[in-house]
Amino acid sequence: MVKSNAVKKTNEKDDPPNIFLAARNNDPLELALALQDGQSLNDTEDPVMLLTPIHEACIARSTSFLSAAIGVEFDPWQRDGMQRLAIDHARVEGLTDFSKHLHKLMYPNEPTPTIVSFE
Amino acid sequence: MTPNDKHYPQAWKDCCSQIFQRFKSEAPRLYGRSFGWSQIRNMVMYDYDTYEDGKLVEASSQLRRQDLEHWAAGKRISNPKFFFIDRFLHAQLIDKRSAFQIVARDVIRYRDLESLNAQELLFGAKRRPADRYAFDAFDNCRGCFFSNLNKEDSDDNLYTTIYVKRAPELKFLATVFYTEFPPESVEDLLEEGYFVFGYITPRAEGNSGQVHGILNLFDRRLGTQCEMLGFSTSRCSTPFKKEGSFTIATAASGYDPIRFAKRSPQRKAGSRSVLIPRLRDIPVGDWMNYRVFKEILPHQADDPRVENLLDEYLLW
Repeated sequence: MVKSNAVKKTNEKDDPPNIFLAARNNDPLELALALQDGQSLNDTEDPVMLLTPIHEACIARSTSFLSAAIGVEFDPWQRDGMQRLAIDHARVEGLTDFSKHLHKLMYPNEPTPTIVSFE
Repeated sequence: MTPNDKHYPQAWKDCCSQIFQRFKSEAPRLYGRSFGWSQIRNMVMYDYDTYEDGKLVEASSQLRRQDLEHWAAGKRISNPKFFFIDRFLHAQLIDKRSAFQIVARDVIRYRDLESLNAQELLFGAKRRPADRYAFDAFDNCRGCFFSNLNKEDSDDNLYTTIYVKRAPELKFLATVFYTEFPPESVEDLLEEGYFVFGYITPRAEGNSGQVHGILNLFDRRLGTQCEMLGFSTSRCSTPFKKEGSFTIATAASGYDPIRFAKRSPQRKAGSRSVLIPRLRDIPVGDWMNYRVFKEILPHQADDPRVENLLDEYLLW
């Protein structure tokens, strides 16, 4: 899978962990290091695009990163520069399981939705 | 979270309204009978109403039929009421079994053609349509994959494949795949590719047996109000006779003809800036940056999966 705007690290020893690189490069280990470093999944990097690491990981289809992020607290209602939620990106990229998890996070106290199918 | 403490963008409410109205008008085709607003309301509130033996006993008062009717008539809907619609629609859109998937695809197709019409209007193709020859030449490209198989062509080690859709007639919708290796099958493109969508507007018959058009590509994943980000325009040309080649030329210097603007590497302090070609920055002498694409995968050209691929970011 081709990553959009993927930036490779140059010297791994000196660079501090970066949660956005972890999201783009599908790296759960760097996610853990970045969380220890005090970064969070609600951070935004670009003041115009306002993508959070969850948005970036959905766009890059970083499934390992996302399954690690399920255990971490984040705001599923954060919108990016196009007013999109993380669930919108996950839906388009075909991440069905993660979309369902996000739906549960977004509506925690509501009943499980019934799907309208063809009768 | 309670229904009262959430705010939704007005554009998203309008988008949902469009989907529901489309569902209402498509219901006879999908179900063989028409749906009223009260039936649609019962669908939305199914998990909140009380049913006994399949019969509605007590309807929840949090969303009523009148609310939906007023909303469809163009009035505003309050956030606590929209909460139920938002929850319902998100659940339907992420589930492949839902009937709303078909409706959503219809809405995307409609918006795709709307964008294409806007492009034709911009480039004057509405009032002065191109020659019949130009249309015929691009018609020959329908259903074919074109790829640049020389890796030295591109500066970021990606292979580019262009597909021109068969439908609809007289309009040219293009899908572009970026892959890290030369694609050998449609599966490679669909599973490993990063795809963007665009339009071709045939413009003129050129010399040397070629016709020209304007190719616009949109990467709507990252698109914002930012100038030209996620948006590329280039000139494309193809021979009169079907020879299985497709040429793309661009105005941008230092930028790939059909690749998007990239974000620069992160600086130590401060935010990441965006490298965007602006039209006024481009020297006139750099207009010719050719890239030739050859036809590949001729035996797999009629794959319905590629033909039915839609830009789902057009929905929201």
